[in-house]
Amino acid sequence: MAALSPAAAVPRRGGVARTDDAAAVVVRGLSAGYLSLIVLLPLAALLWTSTRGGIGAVWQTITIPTVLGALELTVGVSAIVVIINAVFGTLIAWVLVRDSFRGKSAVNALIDLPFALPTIVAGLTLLALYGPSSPVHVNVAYTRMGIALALLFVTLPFVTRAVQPVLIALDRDMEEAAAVLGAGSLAIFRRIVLPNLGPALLAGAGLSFARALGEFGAVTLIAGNNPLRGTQVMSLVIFGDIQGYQFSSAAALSFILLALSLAVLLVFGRLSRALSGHHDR
Amino acid sequence: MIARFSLRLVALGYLAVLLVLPVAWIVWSAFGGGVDAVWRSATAPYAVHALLLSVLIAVIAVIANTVFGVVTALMIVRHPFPGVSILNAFVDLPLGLSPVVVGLSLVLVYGATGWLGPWLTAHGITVIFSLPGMILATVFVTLPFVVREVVPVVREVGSEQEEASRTLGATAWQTFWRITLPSIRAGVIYGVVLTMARALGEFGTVIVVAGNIPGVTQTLTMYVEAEFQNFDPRGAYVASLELAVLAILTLVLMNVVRRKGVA
Amino acid sequence: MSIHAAAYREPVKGLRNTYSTDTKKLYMLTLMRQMTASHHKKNDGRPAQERTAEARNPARSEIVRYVIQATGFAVALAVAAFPSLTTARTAHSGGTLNIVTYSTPGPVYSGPLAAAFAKTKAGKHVSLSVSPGPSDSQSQAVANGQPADVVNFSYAPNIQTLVGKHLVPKSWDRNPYHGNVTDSVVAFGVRQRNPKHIKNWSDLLKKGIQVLTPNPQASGGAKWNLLAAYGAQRETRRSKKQAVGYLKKLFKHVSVQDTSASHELNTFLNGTGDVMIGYEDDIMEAQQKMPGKIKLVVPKQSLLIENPISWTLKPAAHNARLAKKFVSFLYSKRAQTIWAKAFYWPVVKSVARHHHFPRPKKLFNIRQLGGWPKLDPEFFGPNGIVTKIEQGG
Repeated sequence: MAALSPAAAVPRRGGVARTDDAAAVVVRGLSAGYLSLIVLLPLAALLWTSTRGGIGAVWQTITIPTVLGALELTVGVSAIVVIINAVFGTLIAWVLVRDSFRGKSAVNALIDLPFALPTIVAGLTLLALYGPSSPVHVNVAYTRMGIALALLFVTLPFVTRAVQPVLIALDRDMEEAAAVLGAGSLAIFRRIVLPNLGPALLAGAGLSFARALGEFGAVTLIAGNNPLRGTQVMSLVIFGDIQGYQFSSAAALSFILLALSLAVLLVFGRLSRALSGHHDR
Repeated sequence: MIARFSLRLVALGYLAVLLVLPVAWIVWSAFGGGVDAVWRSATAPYAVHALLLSVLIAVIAVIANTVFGVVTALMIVRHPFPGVSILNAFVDLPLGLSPVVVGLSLVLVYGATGWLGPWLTAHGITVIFSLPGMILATVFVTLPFVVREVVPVVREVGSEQEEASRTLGATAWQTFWRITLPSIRAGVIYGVVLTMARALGEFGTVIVVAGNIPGVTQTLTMYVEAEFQNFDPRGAYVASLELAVLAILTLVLMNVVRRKGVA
Repeated sequence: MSIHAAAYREPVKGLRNTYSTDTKKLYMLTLMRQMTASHHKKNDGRPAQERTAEARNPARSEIVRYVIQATGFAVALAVAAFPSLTTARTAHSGGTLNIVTYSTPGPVYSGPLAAAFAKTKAGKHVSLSVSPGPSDSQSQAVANGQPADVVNFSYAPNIQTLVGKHLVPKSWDRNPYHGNVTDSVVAFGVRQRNPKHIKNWSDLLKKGIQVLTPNPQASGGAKWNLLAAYGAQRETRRSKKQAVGYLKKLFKHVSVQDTSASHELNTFLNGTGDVMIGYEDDIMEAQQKMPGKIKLVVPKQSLLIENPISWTLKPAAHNARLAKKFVSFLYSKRAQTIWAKAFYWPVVKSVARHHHFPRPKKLFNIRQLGGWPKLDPEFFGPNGIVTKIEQGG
């Protein structure tokens, strides 16, 4: 078809080509300018403020016992949330793709709710439902479980939406062959399906990890904000510093949180790509 | 058979506890005092102002980021340049940032003690504690969506039609308006819907940047938190209901657009 | 042919006839093949029946169109409302006053005080914009550019910060009331019928008691609470070391540290904690508004709370003259009575005489403990006693 393309048959007129290049440069400049003004400038200010006192100051801020505790809590709870998401996210994706029941499309649409519902509304309702005035008599407010619950809500769609397309596109031949040869469903899942889901699963897990680390709106009402009881996640510590107008310490902690999120995304991205390289699918 | 049924049960149960119950609770709590009470809460002056403010900021963010998004997506796919992958990475950056970190970085530039602070004060321009700051914050956090949704569509659609049309004499503008845009329409709509939803739901960043002054810089999400803390749970739930309705509308739109064939 | 085809037809129509008919035909064929190819790409893995079912159901596109129209209408509405979006208040010929306060007195300003001020000559057609929040944050916010004509903070150093930035006149406290517009006392709030029998500071350390007090990083009320606890120990002849030891033990019982005093009250009313420490006026207001949910207990020794107020200077102030009038209004008999009805202790003696509030047996004040300029950095500064406890040291 390329040989038939009219573009090959007719020489390009010089005038048009030159306007094209000029336009392209202008567009690139505008684009880069917009991006710089909106995103890069503030982040540069953040970086500069956080490292202004030198690495020593950053180290001092991060090694305050309660801050260190908040960091451990944030990473710890987020990690647990990621694991739960990996399991349940895959399960939900499986049910949505392989199963069929009335109302399935509604359930499928519902998965995106955490993307659409404001985090503060989620936090408010989770506190009302699973807090001190809970109608189902479950009170996890001001505990790590409450924080985990809030994070589970906001990260719900990531793994499911990452895994679904892979499951849909999966060729069932191998599974059917294995079944014919006598393998049980669990073995089929473990040996055939799961390895194919690996890269997508890791990508979704990485996204949900990074999101969980930085979540603020959903946890602000349900966490106890008590540095001594270990119910302060990093975003709440940073917010407290901002409220107290301690910008250098807030900036230092923000820098650490940012670096952590980026590291997580990089690592999970690498793992995901490595895994997809090893498979011939 | 049992395995399939129990899997379904576990999955649906998990979703019920985490998603369905909270949404049902919002509706239940909002209507707890009857429809009259809901109307009264919804038409309270601060509530109305908060809603309109949220919508206004969201609309501006959508327009700005759609223009940027479409232009940048076309540029990334059709006219790449050395360093385009860095641009791509930076565009995705807001997705991984905590809202308080974004808010802080904006205050560090535009606040009274920030990089541009003294210049802004000297010229009488207020960014922090007022609308421009809130718009900047919302544009920041919703930057990636249109780009991310349009890039794959542009890749999929290919550029043969544009090339052909240009060769046959249509101007760049004609080509863009009549061929390019319609072909990526679904991706743009999807990105716009995501941007709108995220903008309406923004809370952490704007609260850091704008100070939550009722009737002035209080968006609907901030209003929810304020009413909750001011012992007016009904006001908080009614506002939450408004946001939940908008969220469900978003879900419906996303679903419809996705089905109609994002490439 | 679909809409896409119609779009593609246009440029072909606008063709200059430089190319042969054959080329044009070839080109049209190519285009058509491309369009049908992209149509068939819409296989997203759903069973065939679903896809055709949807093709037969045009109602969905109708929904999308309707929603888009509705959204457009909403947008138009918002844009039309834009002019009034810089303020929720209708334009008032008398002007606007920006009032920045600590977390608890917001409703008093926006409610009875606003109404009473509107009845005065100076206050006719004036609208009040009230912004409440944690006292330290509010003070810093004004220092960093938040507009404010009148500032009413929880404790004096918050005003001093603004004096330092030339946003509040140096003479702010040179009046018979030392710049304070209301007083109160640090008290406890417990559950109805006081099931844990909490009467005094030592009861807070009983086994299993969960205490609520806000986070001193931003809340003024938190600082009053902690200094009251410290002061009570000193008043009962404990040494400084023992008093600080009490604070350490107290923190072990604190379960939630909200960002402000009013958030803290909300948390307690929602069912968390056995006892909350706070402003007596806040607790009494809650007692009245929500009977059965909280009960006031005044400890035997406690600290007098004094809330300072001042008008501001430019550039924070947008209406300095009106602000001065408003502040003097707040000392009037009418306004002080309103404060008293809201359970604040009036500072004007002629009004205070007619209102009696529960008092501790031993009431001490901040100057007897050493004064704010000494105590604030000593306890809450970067190397402060409480700061160190909060950091886990």
